Amino acid sequence: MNNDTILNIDSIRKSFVRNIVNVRGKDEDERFFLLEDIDLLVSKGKVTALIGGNGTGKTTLFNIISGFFNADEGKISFMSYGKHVELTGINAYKIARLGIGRMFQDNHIFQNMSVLENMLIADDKFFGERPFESILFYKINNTIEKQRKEKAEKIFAELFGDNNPFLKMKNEKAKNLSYGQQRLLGLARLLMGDYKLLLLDEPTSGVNPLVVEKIKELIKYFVEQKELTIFLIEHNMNFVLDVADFCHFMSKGIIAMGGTPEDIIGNPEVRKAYLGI
Amino acid sequence: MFLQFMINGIIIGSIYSLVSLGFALVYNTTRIFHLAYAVLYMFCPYIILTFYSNLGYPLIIAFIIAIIITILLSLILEIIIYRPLSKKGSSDNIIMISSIGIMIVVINIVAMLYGNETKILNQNISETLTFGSIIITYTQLAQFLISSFLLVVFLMFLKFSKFGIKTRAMRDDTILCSVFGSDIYKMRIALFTLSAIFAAVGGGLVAYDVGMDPYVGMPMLLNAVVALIIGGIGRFEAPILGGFIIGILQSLSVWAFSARWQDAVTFTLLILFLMFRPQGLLGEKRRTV
Repeated sequence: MNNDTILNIDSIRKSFVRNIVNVRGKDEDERFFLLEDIDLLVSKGKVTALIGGNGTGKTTLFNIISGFFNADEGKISFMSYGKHVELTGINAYKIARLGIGRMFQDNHIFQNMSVLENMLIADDKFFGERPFESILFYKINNTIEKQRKEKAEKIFAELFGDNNPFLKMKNEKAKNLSYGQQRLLGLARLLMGDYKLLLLDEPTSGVNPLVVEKIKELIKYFVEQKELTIFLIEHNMNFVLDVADFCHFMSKGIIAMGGTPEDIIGNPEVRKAYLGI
Repeated sequence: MFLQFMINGIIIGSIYSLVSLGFALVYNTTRIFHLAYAVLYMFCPYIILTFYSNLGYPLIIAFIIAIIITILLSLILEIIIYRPLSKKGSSDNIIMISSIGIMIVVINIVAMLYGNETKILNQNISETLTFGSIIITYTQLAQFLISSFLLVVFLMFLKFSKFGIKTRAMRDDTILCSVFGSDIYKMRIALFTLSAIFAAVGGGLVAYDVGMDPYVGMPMLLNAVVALIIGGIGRFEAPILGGFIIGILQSLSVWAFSARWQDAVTFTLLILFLMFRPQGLLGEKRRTV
């Protein structure tokens, strides 16, 4: 792992059990490997895209990286604050604290909390988390709370300009935002934490073309201004061509191909196997 | 007379609110139907009894020791029973049934150690304050002040601290919480501690007034759950509102009919709510698709 690599995925295997009907017509559990052998490098300060058909295990791989699943074999190492850290077997919340942010494909926001609170919860300062901390040190707590709010408002202003809907609706429940706005809020929130690597699971699914353009803009801003590394799953090929520096094609449990987006998407095999053209 | 019953209702309502809030704190965030919570409510007065009546400590000290021991019991339940089950991904029903199991075991242990009969903490007749035609005992005054104080502090806590924000976030989505660096099980320890404090304070204050037996927990828990449903599941202000409504209605039913009608009134209210406003007073209708 050299200095340009932030995430090194090394021969990850993951199996699940599925129910099949065997030759004698009886139900039987069969173990199969969804991820056969995944090797992948994510370069620092770049956008890496992962494409592949539905059910090939892209989200499973993300879940293994962020600690919700354990891999059967293999290891993942992450470059956190200048040190190599093995992610295998670490709890999800610790992985988040190491600097890996994650956005889910759906339910990416806390519906019943206000827009501002959605931002505050992601703050990288954990002061006030213990139940009595905020009462015992209420002065420090007040200052930190104020800083958090300013930080959130600054992020909104930076990303969406001065008169944006998020600032106007900051005290309303987040579920009152439109679906596209919720997605943008989910992305903006990732700036609250002190993350190095962001895992985005289909950032453009189900939103209108205007929001897709905005998401493109945000991703470029994240990489160029905030020096973040982005690893994303995507089905929108135009989006991949526009934002990604590298692209990997996943098929039958392995990374079948890797390279620049133009090469991968232009490759006849990929076009046949995945795009159907 | 009406006013007297109204005041009595508000006082007992504040206790219902407190106990119901403790239950809601666990239920809303972890989805554990924490029936063993009834045991915590019953357990605290017995510890007070041991330290105050048997060992002769001052009441306040005995109360504080009892709260601490109740917290420990609550944490033992979480760490030994709930946490392993939830890490295994057991369904909510399995967790609830194990909770019933714990409840039965602890109730029987207490009954074995202290006996089945009603015990009292306060041997004297409580002194009273008189305002015109209204009479309030000092015990009632203490019940109202202590529980309202805890309720107000908790609500402010929930609104203004990071812990509060995380608690409300856990209610929405626990997985998303851990993505932002919260240790769910540490949060749960804090929540079980707080809920044990509410149960213990409620139980202790009521037992000081009317005494206790090993079976007082369940009726109280039922009232707390009804308060939670009436107020609206999923919000933390809701059980407080529900608790006061139930307290006042029960007290007024004593005034209008007789004490035997208390439970009938409570559960009629529950049925009405489940039929006509299942989301509760403060709840919002969910989008179903």
